[in-house]
Amino acid sequence: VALWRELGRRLAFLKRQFRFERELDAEIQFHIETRADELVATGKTRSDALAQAHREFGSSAGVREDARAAWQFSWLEDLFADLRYALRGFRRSPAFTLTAVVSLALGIGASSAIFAALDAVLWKPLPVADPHSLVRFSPGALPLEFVDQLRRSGIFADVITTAEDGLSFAYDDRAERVVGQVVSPNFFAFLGIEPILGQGFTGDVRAGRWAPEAVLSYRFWKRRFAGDPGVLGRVIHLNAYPFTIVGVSPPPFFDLTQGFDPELRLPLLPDGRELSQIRLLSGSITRSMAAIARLKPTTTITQAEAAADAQLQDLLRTTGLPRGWMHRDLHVRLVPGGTGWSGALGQFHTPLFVLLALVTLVLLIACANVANMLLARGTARHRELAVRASIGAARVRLVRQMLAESVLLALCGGALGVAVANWAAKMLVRFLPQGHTNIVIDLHPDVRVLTFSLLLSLITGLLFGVVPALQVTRGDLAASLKANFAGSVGESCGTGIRKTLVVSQVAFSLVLLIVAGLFVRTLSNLRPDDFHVRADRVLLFTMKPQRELYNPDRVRLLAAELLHRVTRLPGVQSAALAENGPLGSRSDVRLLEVPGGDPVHAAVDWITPGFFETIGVPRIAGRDFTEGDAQGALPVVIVNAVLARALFNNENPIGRTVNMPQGRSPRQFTIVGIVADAHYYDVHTPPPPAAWFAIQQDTPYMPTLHVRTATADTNSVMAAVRHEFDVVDRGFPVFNIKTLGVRIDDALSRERMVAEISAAFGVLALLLAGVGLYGILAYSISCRTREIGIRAALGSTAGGIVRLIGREALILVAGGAVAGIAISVLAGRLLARYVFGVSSTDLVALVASAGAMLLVATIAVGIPAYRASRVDPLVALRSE
Amino acid sequence: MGRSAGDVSGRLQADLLPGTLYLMILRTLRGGPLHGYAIARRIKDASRDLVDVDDGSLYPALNRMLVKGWVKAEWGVSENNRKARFYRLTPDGRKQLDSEAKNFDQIVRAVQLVMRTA
Repeated sequence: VALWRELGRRLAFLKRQFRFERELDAEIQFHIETRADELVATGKTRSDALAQAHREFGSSAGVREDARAAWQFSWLEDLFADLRYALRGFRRSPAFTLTAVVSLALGIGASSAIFAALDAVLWKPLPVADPHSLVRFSPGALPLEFVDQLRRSGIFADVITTAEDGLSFAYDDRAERVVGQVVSPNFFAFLGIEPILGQGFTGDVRAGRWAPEAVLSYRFWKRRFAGDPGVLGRVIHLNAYPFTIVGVSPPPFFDLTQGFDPELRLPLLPDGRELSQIRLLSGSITRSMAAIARLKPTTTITQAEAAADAQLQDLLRTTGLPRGWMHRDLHVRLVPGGTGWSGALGQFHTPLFVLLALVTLVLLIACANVANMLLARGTARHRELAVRASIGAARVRLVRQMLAESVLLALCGGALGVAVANWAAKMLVRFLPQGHTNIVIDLHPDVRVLTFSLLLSLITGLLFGVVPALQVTRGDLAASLKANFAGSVGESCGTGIRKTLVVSQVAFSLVLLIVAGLFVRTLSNLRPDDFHVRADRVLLFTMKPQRELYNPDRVRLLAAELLHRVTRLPGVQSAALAENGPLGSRSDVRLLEVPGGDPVHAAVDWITPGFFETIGVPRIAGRDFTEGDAQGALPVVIVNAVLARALFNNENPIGRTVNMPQGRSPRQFTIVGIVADAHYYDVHTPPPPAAWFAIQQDTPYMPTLHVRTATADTNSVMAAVRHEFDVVDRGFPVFNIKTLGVRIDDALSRERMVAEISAAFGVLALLLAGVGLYGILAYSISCRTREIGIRAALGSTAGGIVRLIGREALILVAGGAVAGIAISVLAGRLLARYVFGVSSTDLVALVASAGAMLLVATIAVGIPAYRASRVDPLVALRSE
Repeated sequence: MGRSAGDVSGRLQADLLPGTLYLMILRTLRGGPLHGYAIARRIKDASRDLVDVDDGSLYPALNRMLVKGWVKAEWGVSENNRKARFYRLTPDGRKQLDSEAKNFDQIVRAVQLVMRTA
């Protein structure tokens, strides 16, 4: 604060500088005359006294200068002078400035985007009151009876409970599937969240008098109600039950679990009450829900954990447990959660760190590039610096001048980098798999990200500025002014530092390229090619007839009717239902056995006839399911080759029976067909044993309709299918509509993110290295114009000169390439855990990267070499 | 480039601790507003002529103290009936004086201790 006031006084001084001069003069005048008065009193004449007073006072100009200096910001004015000077320099060399700023912007922007993502998933506190006092219970679901006991115990400031499920939402159109979260009524008050509309749940609900109220998420409100401020009090239907909108949560708040953003929140019913339409809301002390508590300020997490566990042991001892999942040796643990708990985003932590490492390399390469250009400029400006040094500029002053230039460059790069970061963050978000539930993350540059970008710009500015600044101002500058042959001898230009920079640029670009190559190869190895021919022509529609509203018979009937209608649509080749489907968000594994054999874990699913044909998996033997495999008929199953081998070795399994010891009835199935092995629920592991049951012999819960189109125009087929759903029944939601191709992409989102972004980094690094190489050669040639001219005059051919230049470049590139390959072999070892099906010294990646580098190097070297060969000896020799 | 506080103590205070001139000016102003000439006079008298404040240092020092907000300047009429610029202690200046005086005492005592015992 004192500093600000001081600044204010200084600024006020600037406004009345003239008055200051007058006042100071008057003050000095007064001082001298008063002294003279004194001297007159001792008996001197007035003029003698005045003369002596003036002598005693000394240099009034010096006093004025010093007094004025007290008010001025000399360092600030110097800085402005430096910056003005730097700007003038930039205007004079726009090509240099543009190259430097753009390469820095790309480096800083990409780093900022990846920082923003890491910050969002790891470091940024939740936008709720006092987030660091929040703890989550593990295991992830606790009986409400225990939660009530915890509330009464006073261990925590308070406890909330949450659970979520898909709901059928209807407002004015057909039903839509939304994710609803049921929360204890104290949810909003507990988190200290101020809704932007309304007040959270009403006082009645918070006091335990339940009412059908809903609080919308900000994004759902924007999407579904176009941000209409009049939504409060409107009635929506969830599973056909009316709810009143009482609030809209604020924009920064998503959920306590990262990446999750339920469309709406509903209050939990009190104990003993339930709503037949929405079972999710049932309040019962035996029900289990996720619990989050707030620590008291005086309690540590360890103390609270011990106290909560003591409560649980108490409950386990005194009540007639085990009840459901609760067993006697159960313990609760507390997990701190100031930054939110990583849900679906957790899988991206490692990829983001890998990308952070790679982007740091890109930024370093960009820094090396700019440093190199600055060194070249500095050498070219040697004369100017020497003149300034000889008229008295201290070295510190010159170094500062050059640093001001580089920091200004970096800040321009950083400013442009913010735009790059914004764009790059959008690209990052596009890699997130969307579908069954949306993964939402806010990567807009906030204060934290902007601060990061600013600091990064300053650091890079100093990083690439210091070496050139010290290097260029080294030695006796003024003396070098006398030596007028600067530039006539090649050696004075190509300094060791510049060559080192180019070699390391080539090396690190190659490392980036090779690493990117490994990731790209990993991705292509993981892409399933064993099935799903033309997966982009398979359309998927997930439907959820709420079981509170549709009984099993009705669901089977609707499914059959729908399939019947869709199959006959023009443009549809085949259509089938599967309960989960390949690479769906749900999977199922059951134990299967034959009498006398070992039980086998198999991936299982429930399907309709024509399913394998639709997703593109060939049948090896036996038959497909038919209409006849209905309820009451012989229970049948289709297995894949791996399972057939696991159960029966090489015997023919058709007609044999398998048992499913636990799970749905019926429990004995006859094998009617065998299909080829194919990836089903996971692409990262080899196809496991798998079995498919007839969905019509069971009850579909949330089946997905698979439609193979006969045309490439999937959009029109999609619309036609969507229409059939409306015709059959508008009462149940259809969602997660996409192609199987997109679903495969989603299953590989991590690998795609790393592969595609690292490939982009690799290309960027390659370009930067090319620019760096071109720059140093072009410059070194311009320094050696005279030498080349002499060579040409002495009879050197153009080819000879190209060879001369080429040899110099080749040494640099070869040195860089050898170092790069060596480093990438080491890096490959580190990355061995993250690559799949490729060795860390993969030859394809290595050769392709080295080839790309060679190509770029040839172009970067070729242009200046060609120019050198065209040097006219007469012009060259006259140039000095 | 900032000037070190040592500059302001002038030739006669060359061996005094940095900031001493500020401290003496602040102390002198505690009795009430004074103009520059009177400040120099007072310091000289109070130190029995041991300290002679260099005029070349006094006014820059006063200006620096204005910047810091320790003193305020007003125009008034002097005892010899001339227009003079009077400096007055601000509450900030008084605070500065108190804390600096305490510091100064401690340092002096410490130096004395060392001189006596070491």
